[in-house]
Amino acid sequence: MKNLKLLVLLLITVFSFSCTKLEQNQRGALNIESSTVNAAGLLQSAYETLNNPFQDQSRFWAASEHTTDEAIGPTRGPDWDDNGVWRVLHNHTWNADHQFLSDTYRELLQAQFAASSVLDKNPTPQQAAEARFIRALSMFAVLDGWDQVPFRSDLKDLKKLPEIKKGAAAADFIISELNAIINDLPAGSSSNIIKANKNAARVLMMKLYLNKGVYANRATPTFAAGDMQQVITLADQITGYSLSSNFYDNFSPDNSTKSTEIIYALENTNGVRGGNNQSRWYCTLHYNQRPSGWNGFTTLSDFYDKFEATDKRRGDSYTGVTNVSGLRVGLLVGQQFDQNGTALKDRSGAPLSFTRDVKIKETGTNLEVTGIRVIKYPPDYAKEFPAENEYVIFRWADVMLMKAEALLRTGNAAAGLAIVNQIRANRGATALASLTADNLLDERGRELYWEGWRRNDLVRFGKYLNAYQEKPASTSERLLFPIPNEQLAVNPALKQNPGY
Amino acid sequence: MIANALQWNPTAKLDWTPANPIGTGLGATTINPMALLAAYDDQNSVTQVLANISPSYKITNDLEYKFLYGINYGVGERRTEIRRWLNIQGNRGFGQIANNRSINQSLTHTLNYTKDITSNLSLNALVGYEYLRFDYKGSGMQGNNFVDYPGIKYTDYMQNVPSADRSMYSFADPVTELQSYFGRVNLGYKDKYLLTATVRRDGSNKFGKNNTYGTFPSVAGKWIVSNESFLKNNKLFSNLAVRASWGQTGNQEFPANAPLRVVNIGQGDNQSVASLENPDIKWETNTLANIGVDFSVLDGRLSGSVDYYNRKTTDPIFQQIVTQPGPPFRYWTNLQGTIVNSGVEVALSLAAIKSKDLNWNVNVNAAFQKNELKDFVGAVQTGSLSGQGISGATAQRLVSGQPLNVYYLRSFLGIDKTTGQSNYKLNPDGSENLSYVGSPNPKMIVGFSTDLTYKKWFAAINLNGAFGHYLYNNTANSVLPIGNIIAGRNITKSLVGGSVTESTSNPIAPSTRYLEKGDYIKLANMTIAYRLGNIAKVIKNANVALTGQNLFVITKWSGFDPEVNTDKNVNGVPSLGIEYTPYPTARNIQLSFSFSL
Repeated sequence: MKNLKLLVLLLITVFSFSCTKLEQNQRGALNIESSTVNAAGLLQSAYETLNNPFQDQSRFWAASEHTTDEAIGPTRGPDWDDNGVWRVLHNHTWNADHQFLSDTYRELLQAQFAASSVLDKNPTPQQAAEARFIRALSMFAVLDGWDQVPFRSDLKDLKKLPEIKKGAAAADFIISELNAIINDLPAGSSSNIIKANKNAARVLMMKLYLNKGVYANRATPTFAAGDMQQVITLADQITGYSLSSNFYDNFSPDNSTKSTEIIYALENTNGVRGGNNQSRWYCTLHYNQRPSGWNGFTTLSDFYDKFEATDKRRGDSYTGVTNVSGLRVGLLVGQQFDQNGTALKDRSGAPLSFTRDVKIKETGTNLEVTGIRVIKYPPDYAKEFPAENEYVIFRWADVMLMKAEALLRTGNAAAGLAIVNQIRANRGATALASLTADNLLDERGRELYWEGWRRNDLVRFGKYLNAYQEKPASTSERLLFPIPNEQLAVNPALKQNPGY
Repeated sequence: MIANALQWNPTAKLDWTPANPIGTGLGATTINPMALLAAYDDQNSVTQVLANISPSYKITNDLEYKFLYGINYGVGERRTEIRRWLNIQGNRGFGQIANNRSINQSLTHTLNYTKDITSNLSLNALVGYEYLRFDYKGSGMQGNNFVDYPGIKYTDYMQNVPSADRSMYSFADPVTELQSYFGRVNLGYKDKYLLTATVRRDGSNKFGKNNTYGTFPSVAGKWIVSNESFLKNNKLFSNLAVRASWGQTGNQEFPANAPLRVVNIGQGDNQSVASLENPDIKWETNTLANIGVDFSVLDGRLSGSVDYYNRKTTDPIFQQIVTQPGPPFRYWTNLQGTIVNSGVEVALSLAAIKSKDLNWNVNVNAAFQKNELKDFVGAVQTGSLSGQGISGATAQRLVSGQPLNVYYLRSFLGIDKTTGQSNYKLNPDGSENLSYVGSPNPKMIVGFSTDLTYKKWFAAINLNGAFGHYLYNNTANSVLPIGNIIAGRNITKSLVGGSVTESTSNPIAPSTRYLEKGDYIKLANMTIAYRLGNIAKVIKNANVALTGQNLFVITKWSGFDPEVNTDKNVNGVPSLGIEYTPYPTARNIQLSFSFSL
């Protein structure tokens, strides 16, 4: 009997914690419906969603530079084959399965979603405006590359298909968004660069007006005088910036304080937040340079030859870098040295002397040293992962060049020429005698190389499909990237771009 | 480690010092494997406490109640360091301490009723309730940038790291709970006809409210033909039975957060939407149908079975791509497609010699299998390949109409005689061609074992093998390619001495060049033992045994071991049959002496 009593007691105990309701629970993370999820927290993460698609070497930057005459990712024997991803970019033979292009498209749209999420959590007018700026920037990049911009105004039910915005209408929508928020954004200045601001919104509007004719018809764009006038008006509203006395101060580890040109940049603060900005120097430097690089990307000799020898943008020494490691900034060609002036060697013991010529598939015995290397961002020797160079999205020289272009396209080449020569004088180049579409495009290349604008520029100037070094002429479908197959499979509202 | 050892120039000494970790190796990017071994330390300690109680009570002669409670408490600590002096890019000395803790509990009640209803009909019925609870938490800290104090582990002075170079984290997974109600009936009639039917109702709190529970029935029957009167006195069969079964089981393997839109808490004021919710996710169902024959002839000296099975997975739980704009990157859902596995399994067992002093048994089994993914939308990449020069490349796909993890690669046509470069099959327009080129799933798996007893001697061997599948040699692809010569590193032997000279600049594009047949037969283990028996009055049942494991492999596979499956998943989608620098399988030879007192 005693045993039976014990058993009954046991049964009562065990049944008291059985037959649960099986409810979902959360620990260590929040549910979107929670009241502790707030606009400030979501806005901070929305800013950070821009880091990977813009800063990583295999995202929007690769799509905008490797596909042009400014950059190439040569296969160097056992290195950098990467299943051909770099070759097809430069060759214009990518397809709708291209991993980096697919990832870029997806990550830009994720940034749009992160920004829109802020709007559902009772943001202040300024928080809402900042979020809508982030959204506008990501939508601009998608429009520019893929034309079709999936857009969600309602985030409640994500099983519903997004609306697809396209072409000039998409540009108009983004402009209307920027006009709607500009009063709620804080003023911009060269000391307020890592948050959305009025001037950043103006530059983005300038980009949209300047390219609106492209978005309407990429093969044969026309540029409406009204749009060009908007570019000029917006440029004139942006004040308080000047050309930096040293070109490379715009990209240095302390560019947030040194540069007088930056209007909007992505924040890189070691130990807090940042992106893969150090890849800009890792992907080009040789193993035996400092820092030891990945010996990958280069520019091409035709591009190098667009510079005058005195142009500091072609090459310079830079305090904090050249005196530390011997590394110069700008375009690196010929023998490389360490800080003591000792000539460096490659891994086989041959001189580390970068050649002018590079092939998309290197087959020679000197394949380690081929191609002209590019150091636009002076390496940060103090901090890494991330290095503390803020990643520049918009800067004053670009505003000046866009205004010059709008003037040129509205028949005022003289005023445009004056602006261009102001920049050239600052950079150590001689004045141009006249301004044409061709030499303005070249000037944009010289000023903005490896900053992620070359594809946009070549398309607008009608040069993107031309043959250039290590690339045959390509056909008009290449003016757009294909809609990635992974998104086509799950979104029937998207249609593959023509020709793919 | 393995990669660096393979690449090491065999003519260079392995000497090193902290001041010169490369030693006599060539180039700043060469890692000396001996220095690497000394610079790395990774220690994992796990403590587990298990407790069970299972009282039972006979309520009547036929009815018994059983209760089972178990708890498994585990804590683990992992301490990792990389010494500052090792020449890895970006290394400034690294230390990490990670802790985790799990508490898993289970609780079962069963009522079991056994009754011979008539002399011919027996009944066994069981009903039960089961509850499982899983609780997992963890935390960790890491630091970069240590001052190197030789002889002291970094993880013993983590405070040395400057504050900007420290990071920490902690997490607590949602508590997962499962509860099930189940019943089973066994009926036996005249020892000739056996019938079993079960039904389970399983619930899991991982699913949303609408789909918490799934019901999974099964039924199985067996006809023991040899017990029928018409075979009662036959000389041939001592046992002959026919079996058939059909049953369903549920699967709920996915993260517990899947039905919710989760917001992660980041550093400072940072909240990020981390996943797309799927409140409609439901149980994955596996339906297994099986028919089989068991037999035993020659007085039971030869017995065996033949089975045919067909296993169909419906509503497979899988990660699907989010329709953007949305949170990253995939969400868990039930796919439209089905996965079908079918095959035949044969097992034979022979007592070849049966006598007082000498006994010899032989067992053979073989399984022939086939799997296919059906009605699947789109293609999912997996099998990410590793190594410098092939970043981002994948080798396998999940795609409708193909076996799981089918290889999707360029077709290698050989080395060009004039250029020394690889030639690949191209599309008619000259562009690169990737196609489905083989399956990593074996068509046949075999096992063979035999044991021999002679008086006090005992010997046994076990062989296993697999046939009809392909393995990918990622090690040869990226660790030992011809281009290593440029940087003074080692290359694989098969690249030397052919009739065509491969150029050192030949790119290492993933292709069928590195795809090899995985067929093998392996001597898994072999034992020779001698029974000493009782020695004096103290030692009883003494035995001496010599055991060898992994003694030989017959295969044409050029990697370490054809039984290989390095984890090369892409976003959680598993890979299969890829080798990348695994530790070679050890060959163990063991001499043992056992006794009781």
